[in-house]
Amino acid sequence: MSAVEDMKNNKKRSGNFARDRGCTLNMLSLTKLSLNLMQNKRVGISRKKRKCQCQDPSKDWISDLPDEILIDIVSLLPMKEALNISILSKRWRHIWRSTVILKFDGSNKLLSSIGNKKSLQRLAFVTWVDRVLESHYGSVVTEFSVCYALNKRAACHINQWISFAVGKKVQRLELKLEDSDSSFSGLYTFPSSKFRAEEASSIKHLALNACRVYSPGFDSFRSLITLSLKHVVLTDIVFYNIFLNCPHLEHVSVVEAKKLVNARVVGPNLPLKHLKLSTCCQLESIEICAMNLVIFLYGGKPINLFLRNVPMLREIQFFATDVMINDTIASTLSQVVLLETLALFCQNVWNITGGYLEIKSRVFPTFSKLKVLVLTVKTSFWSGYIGFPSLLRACPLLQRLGMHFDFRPLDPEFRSDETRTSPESRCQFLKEVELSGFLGQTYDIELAVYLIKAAVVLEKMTIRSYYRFFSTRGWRDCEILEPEEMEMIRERAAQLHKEMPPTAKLVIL
Amino acid sequence: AIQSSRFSCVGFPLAYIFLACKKKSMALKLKSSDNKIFEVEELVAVQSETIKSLVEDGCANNVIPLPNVDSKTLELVLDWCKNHVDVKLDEEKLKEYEDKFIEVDLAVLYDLLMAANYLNIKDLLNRASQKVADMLKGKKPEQIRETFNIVNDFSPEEEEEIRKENLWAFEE
Repeated sequence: MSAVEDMKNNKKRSGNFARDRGCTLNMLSLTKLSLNLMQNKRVGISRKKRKCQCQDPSKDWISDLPDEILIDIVSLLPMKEALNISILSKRWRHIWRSTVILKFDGSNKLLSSIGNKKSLQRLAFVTWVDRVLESHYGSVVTEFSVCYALNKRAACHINQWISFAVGKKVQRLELKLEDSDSSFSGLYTFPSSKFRAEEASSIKHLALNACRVYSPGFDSFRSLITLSLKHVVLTDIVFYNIFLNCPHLEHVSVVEAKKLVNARVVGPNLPLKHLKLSTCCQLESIEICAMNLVIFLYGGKPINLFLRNVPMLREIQFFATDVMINDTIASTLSQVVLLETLALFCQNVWNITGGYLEIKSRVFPTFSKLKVLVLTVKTSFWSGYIGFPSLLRACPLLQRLGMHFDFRPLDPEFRSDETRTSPESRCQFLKEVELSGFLGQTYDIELAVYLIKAAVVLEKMTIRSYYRFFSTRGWRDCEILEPEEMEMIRERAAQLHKEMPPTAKLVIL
Repeated sequence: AIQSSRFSCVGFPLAYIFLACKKKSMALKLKSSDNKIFEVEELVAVQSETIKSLVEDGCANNVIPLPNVDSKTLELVLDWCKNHVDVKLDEEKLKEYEDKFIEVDLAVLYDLLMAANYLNIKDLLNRASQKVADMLKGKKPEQIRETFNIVNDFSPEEEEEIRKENLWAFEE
């Protein structure tokens, strides 16, 4: 199989192929050059052979492709299917042994089995991975991923797999060991201390799911660009060191981290652009001082947020499980001078801490650059749109507004004082409004009319009869209503057509 | 080719002129295997790493022969390249274009793969490989053989042996 090996090596060079060739041939004439290109290995079969096969639909085109392309194709398949390919014909027999992407995914298998059978399944999975790695003879593996519920009992196998991947200069390493019922106690410990910096230097993307990370954390992983941690045990100090020790880190996502209490993302010149922290149950505060940070997402319980030196920060998504726009958070967020997109998830937008009158008279700090505001509102104690007009006033440049409701007030005839009357001030730039979870009751018709009047340059209003929400995982629709009910809502929404200015479009979904 | 290699030692003024010319994105002439000449903007053509290296080394002043790509395939490939320099296309539109582009029969897909590999156009090679992988995904070996007209050249014993080997491939 040395031919395959050779092809593989040739392919590895392909990125530099053109350059190298160009350099050596710099002084040669063009004819000679094209001759060289023709003779090069990257050219699969001769022209003569191809001419006579012209457009025959019953021909086996795919098997004629050179090894390197077949390897590329098979690399795109999950490992199980890549192995299935070997039975097609002799041509395909050993292709899988050179795949550059190894993805072992057995997650859907385990869900169906229970108890004793589960441990047998685990054993079968581990043996399978071991054997594939034994038979693999590609010199390079760019991606290595294991997705299966494994815990510390499989540690010696997992450690070997990681060593294998690191030995093949892996760039993307993923360990998703999560089981639906796994507790934090049985977690596999990621052997970060075993790697020397030169060994781990090929790894650019690391994702760990259901692992324990001890100090020194990721000290050796100096080339990391993205780091994603989920369901991990991670202390404050290990978290803090991530940013000090990985000088190229741009994307960090930490979800369900146990033991993380005070998250500090602080450094003199961090390249970090994208930060996500979500559902860390012990988290109390987040301190961010990252001059290149562009997007920040937070989900979880209310925390203390400190933002310093974030001149590039454009987008904040904040999904707190409790009262939201309180004064502290609002003033912190308004310090982000260039903030253009703000997504807030709130139990109750207009935060009922304090008396009704106090909130009514509240003045929000100004979000002077804000263009997009997305509010996801879920509440059981509906008290109207208190404070809404002043929130709109606080965003003078707002261009797009999304409001996504998930509630029903007890009284369908409920009306909110805030939106009953004509708006006092106008939104000079508001072009797009989206309302979802619209029920067509008096109060939401009134809100829509209020916004139509306020937005003097309105171009489009979208009304959804179903609830749509923006979570840390992106947009999700949920249609819990009966089709007839949704039809009724759409009919009620249609009466808004007569309120719309002639230049604006009303879309009802 | 000889001229360009001299630029480095001539110094500032000539290098400056060279850069100024480069900016204008001159047209390149590509010759397909069936001797058709395609005139394309440099910006479009240099998405092929192979052509890019020729341009960088100043070997692109005359017609560039591409003896492994026929005119029909080259036309498709250049269309792909044109659509990938067009900055007006947003991500969604580009994806739409790519999906439509790659809806071709196997013979054309083969030609595209070979051309993309030879010309070293990464994104086209990836997209075409992905297309084939998608056609393989979730299918039984028999179905795959049928789709691609692959002839099973194993003896029953050999096939049995491979099946046994793959038994540990985590099957039920």
